[in-house]
Amino acid sequence: MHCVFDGSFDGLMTLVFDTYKSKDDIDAVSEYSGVESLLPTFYFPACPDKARRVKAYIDKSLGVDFAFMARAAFLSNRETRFRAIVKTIHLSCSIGKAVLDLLDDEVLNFIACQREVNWEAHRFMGILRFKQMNDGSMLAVFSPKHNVMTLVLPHFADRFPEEYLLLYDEERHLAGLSGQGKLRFVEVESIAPQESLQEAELQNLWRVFFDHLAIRERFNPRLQQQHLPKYTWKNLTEMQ
Amino acid sequence: MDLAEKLAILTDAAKYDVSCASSGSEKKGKKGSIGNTAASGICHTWTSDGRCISLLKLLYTNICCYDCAYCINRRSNDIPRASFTPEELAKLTIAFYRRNYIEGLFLSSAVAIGADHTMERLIRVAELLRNQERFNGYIHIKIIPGASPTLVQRLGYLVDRVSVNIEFPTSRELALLAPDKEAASIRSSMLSIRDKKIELLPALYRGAAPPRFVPAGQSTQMIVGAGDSDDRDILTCAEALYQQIQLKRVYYSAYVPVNQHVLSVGSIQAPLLREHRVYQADWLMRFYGFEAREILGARDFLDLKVDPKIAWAIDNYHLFPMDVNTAPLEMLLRIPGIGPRSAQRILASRRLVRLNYDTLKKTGTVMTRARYFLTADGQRPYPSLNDPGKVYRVLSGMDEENFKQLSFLEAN
Repeated sequence: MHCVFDGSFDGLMTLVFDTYKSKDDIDAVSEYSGVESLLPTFYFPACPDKARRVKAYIDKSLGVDFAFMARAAFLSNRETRFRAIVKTIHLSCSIGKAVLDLLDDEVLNFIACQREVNWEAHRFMGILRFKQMNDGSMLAVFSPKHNVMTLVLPHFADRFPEEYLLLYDEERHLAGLSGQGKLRFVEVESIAPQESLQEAELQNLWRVFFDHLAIRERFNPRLQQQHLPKYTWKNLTEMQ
Repeated sequence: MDLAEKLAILTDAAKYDVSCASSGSEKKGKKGSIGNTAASGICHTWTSDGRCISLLKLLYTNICCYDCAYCINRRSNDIPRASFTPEELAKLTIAFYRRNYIEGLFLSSAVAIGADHTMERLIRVAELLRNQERFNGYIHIKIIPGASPTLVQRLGYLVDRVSVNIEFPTSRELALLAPDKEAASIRSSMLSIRDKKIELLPALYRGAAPPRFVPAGQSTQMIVGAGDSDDRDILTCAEALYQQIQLKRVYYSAYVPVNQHVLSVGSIQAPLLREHRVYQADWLMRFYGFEAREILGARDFLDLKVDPKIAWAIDNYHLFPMDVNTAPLEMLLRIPGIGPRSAQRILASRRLVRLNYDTLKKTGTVMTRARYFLTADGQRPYPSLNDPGKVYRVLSGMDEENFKQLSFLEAN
């Protein structure tokens, strides 16, 4: 059975609810793409009440940590992420929290999805680079593999409570804004940044520091790249 | 001299200090302030030598009245010298922090006039950051050996972490290579931080909430391969520092011959590999429940060809193979190829199922190493090698790649 939902987290939770009785027949779970598939698919429309019941079950029986894991796995770019979430929650109905200790392939995939996402979110908390704009606000552009915006922005909002921040995910054309204690997410086709005058000088100082901190005798670019994958370089000031 | 020039000189002067951790301190952001800290620490980039940059690591000045044999900043070296002002440093830290280049500041200094004089300058920087700039991020400041206890205590209330470098495992070596530093004063400043932290423990503190005092604890650094100490000296010393002084981290730094004459007699080749092995042994002490004397067995130097856990397992081959379905946690941790995380997974999973070779792989166990040392559900995953010498030969062959990569000769 190929199950389709509207792409929202609540939609997926509804799907968890509606497919429970036929849980062994689920082959694939995907977001509705707007194109009619040649294969038979079953569409599950989102229902706030069913979603609420599933989420309440998760919070109560599986715990907050599991809820965070499911939210993170949902942001993964793995094609199998939705099925892994659905199947893991279904499996949990018989053994509860211990589902995470089952060495089941769906569960392992669920764990791997959320780990990749959380890892990338953590990495971008470090390697995001802000530039000061003309109007004093701070802009950071990045292109993560997973949709980590909602995990990353709260960290910076907490860190810089007095700043106006704009994070821009080039890949998904998604902007995250923070200012005066409020967070907002909007889709934006493109941005036209105007850097402030001190920006170039500070970027230069940062490169001086970066270059001089390396120890020549220990030169090891492979190790560097292991930590700092190539896809992140184009937005890294020190790699320009 | 412009700021970029100063920055270049004082970065070069600071880079041989290894520590860059921003972990161990968790602070939420505050309205009206700038900054927070994460318990796990955050790395912000990696230099071309593969080392992480988390903090803005600088010397306040590299003008030094000491003449330590191993140090690039020694008085007798003819190198460009520079000093920051506290205001410059505070401004630069904030400018970098706002752009998310760094997690905070790691400030050390050469000793230009005297220990207290230098210590006061560093405290001034921390005060500016905390009070003027309302900086709530991570600050790590070096204690200048010989600084007065009152200054050290004052510093402790301002920063997240302090460190003082012990430099060498034996005081004999320190006297030889750093004649101006005193082992006793290094130790006493470590102890005074430890004692103050104990005094301020919530359970012992009278009054409401105790003030924050060095919340991320203290660390230190030892140079590997500059003098004649062996790995037994180093690991025994590190173990004592962890147990007696409750240090959070001991860092090890392979000696880079920055000065003309070569100091080291032993282990001139592959100093980076030796450093790597010492780190592995340090990990075994901190996360695997090993004692230094167990790791070393009858050796004074760690085996360079295999990691210290394999070396221990081969020395104690009579304890193997271990049954992963019954072995207790502390024994699971002694199987090469099983780390703290896979050990926990094995414990959790085996409550639900009996582990066999296939399911064991899914716990994250590295089978290429582990297979010589375990059985799973009666399965001996590899045609059993009963001869530890043979296992040693197989496993040391596997590590040859690393051996090459980690030698200075290859790198140059």
